[in-house]
Amino acid sequence: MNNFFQFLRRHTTTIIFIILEALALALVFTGNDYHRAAYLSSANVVTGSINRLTSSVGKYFALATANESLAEQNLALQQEVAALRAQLMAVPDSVWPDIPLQAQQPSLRYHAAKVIGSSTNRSRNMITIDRGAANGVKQDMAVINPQGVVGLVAAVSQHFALVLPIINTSSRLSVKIKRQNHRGQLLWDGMSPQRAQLSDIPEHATVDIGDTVITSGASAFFPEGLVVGTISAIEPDRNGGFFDIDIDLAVDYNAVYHVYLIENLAAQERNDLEKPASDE
Amino acid sequence: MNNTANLIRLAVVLIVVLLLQVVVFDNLDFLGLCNPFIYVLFILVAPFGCPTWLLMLMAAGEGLIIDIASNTPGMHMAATILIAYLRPAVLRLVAFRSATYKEGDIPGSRGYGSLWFARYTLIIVAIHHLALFLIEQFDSFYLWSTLIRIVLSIVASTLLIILIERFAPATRGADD
Repeated sequence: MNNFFQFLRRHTTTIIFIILEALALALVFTGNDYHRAAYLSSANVVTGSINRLTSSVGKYFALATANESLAEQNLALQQEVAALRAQLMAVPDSVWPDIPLQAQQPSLRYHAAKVIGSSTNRSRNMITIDRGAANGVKQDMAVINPQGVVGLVAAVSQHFALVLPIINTSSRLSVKIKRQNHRGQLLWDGMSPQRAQLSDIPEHATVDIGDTVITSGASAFFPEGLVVGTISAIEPDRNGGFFDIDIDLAVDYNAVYHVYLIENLAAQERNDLEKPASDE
Repeated sequence: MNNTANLIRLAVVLIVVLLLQVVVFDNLDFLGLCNPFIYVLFILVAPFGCPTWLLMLMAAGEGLIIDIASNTPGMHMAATILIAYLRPAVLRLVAFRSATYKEGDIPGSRGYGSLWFARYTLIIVAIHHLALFLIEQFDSFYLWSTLIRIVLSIVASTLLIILIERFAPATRGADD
């Protein structure tokens, strides 16, 4: 027994070291569950506020790019509105009863948010935005910007939220090739923030470089048809019968300033329906 | 230098390096290739003879704050505890044969020379960055790109830390 205490006394430092390292590594392996750990992330009040302060200084340098991108989106929306209005005019009144457009309950609701913190050079990149539960942000909302799909809300605190972007090695997104409806899964290999990988496209599919890849609608959180990127390289897989496909992402993660969160009002109902079925 | 003065000095260094790291250097990204981690400076300039258990506890706290700010749970904490644990061994390794460290003194370029401080910094930073990148990328380790990032980051951090140590009076203690 005496020997044991002597051993403890002699190695106190090492024992404390092992305990502390075990604590840290436990955090490494469990802390990626962002859902529970919003307060242990940049979405907490202190770091969130510091981030907002920093980005309010830095944002002036990025204003020009952000403005240009917003103006472009504005133009596209104007044209879409004009086209839809023309279409509506062409429909005779007898076919289209006189219901004001507002009466149609939209199934999607959009929220605007600003990016206050982001990284692109890690394997588990995250984006912090300046809207939280107090502004109606909920977990699993889709996040897009004028260019395309950015990611998914992973954790929400009172005034901030954490977004899991496509460029995070734990991101999974169900997508399809626009021209032909082949579904696949979009993954990220941790290398370039401009490029992601598309798997599960069978070799009998005809895919071309330059094909547009969009969300498939298989996930309740992402409405179908949001632009994800374009195919930049195709290689046949050696044994699986599936292509190895590289995607040029539509979103430039080094320049994401304004994002929109999509709240799918029907998602809850759909999840409730699908959940018991998949549990069996 | 007495203990209270040392403690206040360390607290000032801690706050300054944390702010510098989170506000400035976490937002710098040189071509997506390297991020300098200058907060290591805090562990470097703790006085000689500082009990290792205390240094490790402070390292754990510092690392955890960096982790929270950069969404890397546990990673900086693990790497920083490691260098705190290894610091006495590194100090023995870089010791001059003739010179001895005086307990309570601050490891710095002023008392022990720029070359000594550069070597000491390089070794500690290298251990810290290697550990950090291995923990961060163990599930997606691409040999060459990761190695390039590690080497560039070690160089950037070491140079920046040497610069900051040179020009920040708090890291050196009172002028004697």
